[in-house]
Amino acid sequence: MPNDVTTDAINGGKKNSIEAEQTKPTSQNISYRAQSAQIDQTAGYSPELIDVIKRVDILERQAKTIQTGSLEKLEEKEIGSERVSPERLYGDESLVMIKAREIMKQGLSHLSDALNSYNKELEREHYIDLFWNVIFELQYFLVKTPMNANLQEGITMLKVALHSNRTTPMKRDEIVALKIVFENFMNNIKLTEKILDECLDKLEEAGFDLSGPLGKVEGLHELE
Amino acid sequence: MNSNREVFIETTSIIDYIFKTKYFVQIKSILDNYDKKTTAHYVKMEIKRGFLQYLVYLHGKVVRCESLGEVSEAINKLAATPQQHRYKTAWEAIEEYFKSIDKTKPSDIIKKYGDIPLSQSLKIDCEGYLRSIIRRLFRNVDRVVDEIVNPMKCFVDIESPRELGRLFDNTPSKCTGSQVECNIKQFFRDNEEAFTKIRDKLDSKSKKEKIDNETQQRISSLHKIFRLLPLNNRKFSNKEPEKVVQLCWRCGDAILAVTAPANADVLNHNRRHYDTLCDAIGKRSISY
Repeated sequence: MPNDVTTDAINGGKKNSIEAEQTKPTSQNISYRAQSAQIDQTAGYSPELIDVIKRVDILERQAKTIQTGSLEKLEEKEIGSERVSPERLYGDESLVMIKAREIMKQGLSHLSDALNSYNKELEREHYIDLFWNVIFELQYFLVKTPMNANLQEGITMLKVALHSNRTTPMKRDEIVALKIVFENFMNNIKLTEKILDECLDKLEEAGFDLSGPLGKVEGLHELE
Repeated sequence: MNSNREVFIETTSIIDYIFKTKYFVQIKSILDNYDKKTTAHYVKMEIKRGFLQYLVYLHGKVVRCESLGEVSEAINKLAATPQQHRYKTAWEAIEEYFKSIDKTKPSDIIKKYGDIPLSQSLKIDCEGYLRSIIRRLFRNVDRVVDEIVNPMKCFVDIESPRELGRLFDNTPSKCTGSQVECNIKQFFRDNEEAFTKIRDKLDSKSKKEKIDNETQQRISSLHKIFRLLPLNNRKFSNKEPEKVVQLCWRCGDAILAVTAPANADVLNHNRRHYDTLCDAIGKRSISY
């Protein structure tokens, strides 16, 4: 998956790729091997185009399976590890989710690096800064295709948590909490309120201040 | 360790504690002296009809307005009261906060994805932030204390605002909307001695010194409530007209002082009011 895929690019790319797909000789053989061979033929295409072609092919195979009633056979012999792929799980949103997961993986990697270099203070803080970038990138990426209000809230609250700590060196417990939370977000992109609350509790327990701007307002109780 | 090991936290203190205002450290050091922390259902009710109501209003405006400027405009057009000034202050703090975060956005991300209009980006953050605060406020109250008492069975069906699409519904925010008839009249009867002491103390204070408007309202409400108490045909409940409901809210601090368990100290952020109330009924007021 390329790094420069935006939701627009994905939508545009999908359209183009379908057209491209129509001009190619369509194989009637829907086996996985044939599909691989078909993708090999697309060697000159961009990676996102290949992704979309692959997805169209999966959908075609599914349609064919429903027509022939050979679902079990197909799943057993042809789908294999793709049975739980994001494409199968989430349908049309899958490409955005895959890309979002990819950005999140990058964030997790920064957090792991921060933990690995914990004793080297400047390195550790640098990785936290890079993680801050990732939070922004994730929000930018998702802004045009809001996945889920809980995920949006989670990203905003991560920004609040990190902002409140911006002038303080990050403690190990805080980095660990960030990592657990971000990993949870990545593994549950369609975040439920329950998981989100557990994640935010985790951040608070680690010492992050999530009260944000209202925490600075005096006389809050007078807002009646 | 304090010999009195239970502390009752009133509304203002619990908000100060949850929102980590400048009093957080002070409150925490006080709470650490106690084994048990208690609050009242009535506190949640006060939060729901006051602070939460404002946040829900603000969240709704952020969702519906095209820009944050429009949200400010909407607040500016509210009735010009001291309360409106407080609303503005709180909103400005939120707006400024997320604007300052936005200034730190990495330039390479703008190159990669194109810049998001500031208004859109701020709307996303403000909406997400307010949503989080609204959703989690009662949860956070529950986490602060060990027990929530509700001797007057006030509004037992209280809940966090419900999400309706992207908006929140905070109704019923007043007792009249509740399906449950509260037992506040019986609570006053059960604690008539304590409330009588409070009324008499406040009466006596008002004769000796100039008292503030809130205390005046409290005295007047208590007198009206005592007039209603013997009348069996007059329900003092959420089924009664608005006027009677107001009596309850106007003596909220007195109700909370009485609601605090007998052996508990009352943690508050209003020494002027709570010292007198607690003194009248033999409880200890802890102010900060």
